[in-house]
Amino acid sequence: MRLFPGMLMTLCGLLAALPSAAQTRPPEAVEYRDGQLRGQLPYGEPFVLYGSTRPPGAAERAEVVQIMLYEEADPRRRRRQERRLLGRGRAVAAVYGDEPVFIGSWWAGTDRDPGKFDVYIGRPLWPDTRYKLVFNFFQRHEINDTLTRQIVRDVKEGIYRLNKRSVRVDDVARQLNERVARMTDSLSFGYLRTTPEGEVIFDRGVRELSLPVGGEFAPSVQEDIARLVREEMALRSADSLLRDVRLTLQALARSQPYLQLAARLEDLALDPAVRVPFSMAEVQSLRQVVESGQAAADPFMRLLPFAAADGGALTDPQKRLILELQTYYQELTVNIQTVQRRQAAIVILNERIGPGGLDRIIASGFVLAQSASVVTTPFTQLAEAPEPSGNPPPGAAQRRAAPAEVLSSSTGFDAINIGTAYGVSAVGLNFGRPAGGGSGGFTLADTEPDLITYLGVKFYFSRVDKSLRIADPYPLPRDRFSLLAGIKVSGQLNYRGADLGNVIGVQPVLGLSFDFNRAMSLDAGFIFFEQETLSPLTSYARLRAAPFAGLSIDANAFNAVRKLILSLNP
Amino acid sequence: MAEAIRPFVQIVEPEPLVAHEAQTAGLDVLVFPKALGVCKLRITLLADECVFQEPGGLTQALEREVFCSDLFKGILTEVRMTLVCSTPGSQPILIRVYAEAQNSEGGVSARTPDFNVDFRPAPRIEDSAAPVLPDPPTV
Repeated sequence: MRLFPGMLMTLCGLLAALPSAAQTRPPEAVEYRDGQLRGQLPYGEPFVLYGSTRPPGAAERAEVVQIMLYEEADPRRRRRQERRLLGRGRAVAAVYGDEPVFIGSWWAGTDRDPGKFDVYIGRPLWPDTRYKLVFNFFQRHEINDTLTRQIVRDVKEGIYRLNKRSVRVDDVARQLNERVARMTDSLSFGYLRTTPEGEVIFDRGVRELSLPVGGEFAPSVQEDIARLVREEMALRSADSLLRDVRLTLQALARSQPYLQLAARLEDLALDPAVRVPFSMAEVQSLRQVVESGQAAADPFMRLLPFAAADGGALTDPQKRLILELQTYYQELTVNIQTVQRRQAAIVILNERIGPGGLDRIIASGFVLAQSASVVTTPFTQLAEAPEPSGNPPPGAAQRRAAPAEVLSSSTGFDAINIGTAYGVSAVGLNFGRPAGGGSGGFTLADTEPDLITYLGVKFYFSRVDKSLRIADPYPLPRDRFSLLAGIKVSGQLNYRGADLGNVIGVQPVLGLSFDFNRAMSLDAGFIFFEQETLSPLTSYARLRAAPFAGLSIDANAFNAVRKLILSLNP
Repeated sequence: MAEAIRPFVQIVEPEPLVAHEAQTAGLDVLVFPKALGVCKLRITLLADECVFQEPGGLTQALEREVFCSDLFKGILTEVRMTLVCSTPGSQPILIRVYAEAQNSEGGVSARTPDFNVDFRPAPRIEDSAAPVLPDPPTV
């Protein structure tokens, strides 16, 4: 009998070790197909939810699948209603929490099967609880030049509509905010963003219709767009000036004074008898400038000093004409250079604003994938069955606008809802009395502890599965309570020197148990025994009870044995 | 009478010129008057909410004069100007200016292409604080 407690402890330890042996197996997998879950949602451990990336009725695959999991708010109430309605064939509606308890996403990648998504649901589910699953399907949208240009063009048009000659960066920022906010507003199903830790989450916060313009990214983009607008304004102005100069030169090229001057300069350049400081090439440059309006090498470097020297080769009006032609040449050159400079600046600014520019805006707090180069849009390419009348089917528009699939499923309960207890307790029989039934006053120091060990089972009021691979398998504090029923295993109870006897062969124990954790419990209740009458004149026994309180360990033996049996008979 | 020769004027790079609110900035302008004597230079602002601040008041265009003593040479001059804008805000206002000239013969130049000026709010006090002078040496 003395060995019994030790053996029991060893057995409990072995049984408790059994569930841990199964922890190396891969996580459960649940398939989502054709709008239904194949198989029951597992509880108590992470699992993988996989399925087709093509939503029901859709023609294209989604590139991002987001799963939001909503938990039943009050499963006990629903279960009670179900028990009452058992057999009546009426469904009981579940009420789900407003906030999802888990959000996970799958992103298509080059190394992944594009036809199948899998999301690791890292949040273990509770037993016998209903869950609502929302599947959001998205398509990745590259922030390419088209999208960037579209937004920048809109912003620029907004600035031009202000009809101002100056460009305020503040105005650009406001226009940019409005348009980016409008674009992101078109994403009806919330926004994915990455946390500083790199986790992609569903941003449910209320978004403000403005960007953090004070951030590091924004001013440069806004300024770049403002500069782009100014460069375009300046380019138009320079183009107009250049056109005017060329028109003037065209008219001048046909004038008699110019033609006479050009002929005179050619004669001088070709006449070997006259030594002039300019060459025929410079005269040809002058002709190119005046007659074609194109930039050329400066023809006035030596021509102008020659005219200024007043050698008698040119008339005064011809000298003035050379001076005037120089003005046109300067205007032509400056305007050509300005146009080229503006065009180059516009190219550079467009490149700077480009895909990276919009990334910088959107990455600020809106939609961001693992890569900064992608943004998600709702999956909108749902297939439409052609209707004979040509009208879309009823609800088609709604489906296009809401490409999310919602379904509910319940976890089951796959465990024996009974725990085991092996504990040590003190019985309140001789509290304040000396050991051995001695007489005397109240004495706590010498009081007899009446220690016993007991073995029992615990009937939980809630569905508790202690094999859950989570730290705390109790959904609520009240789930920790259970009804304890057992028997005394060792320890002799006596009262006033007389041993207390068994009731039907044992001394039963009945009480309540409170689980500190899955292995340790605080138990309290009553132990039942028979007490022989102390009087030698009478001989009868009475059923009596005494309170006890103790600590017990729970090896979850029933479930351990069940798992062992199941593993032997798969 | 022959038509007057037109002068040529050019605002010299680099642009943009950064002008802080109510602070003087210099704009380099190259003028070829092409007529001897006084040549008037006019800088016009292309902005709706900004003006030049001159001793005589606020103006949309400011005028300067240069003296020409050589028909065939250009004159580089720095035009000092002070800009003020309404509701300057915290972000720059991108504006443009252009220049024109009129020489002593009455010839008027074509306007220059637009030249970019960035108007920025006045720098904060701590940015423009005077440098701290070292303590005087002790004997």
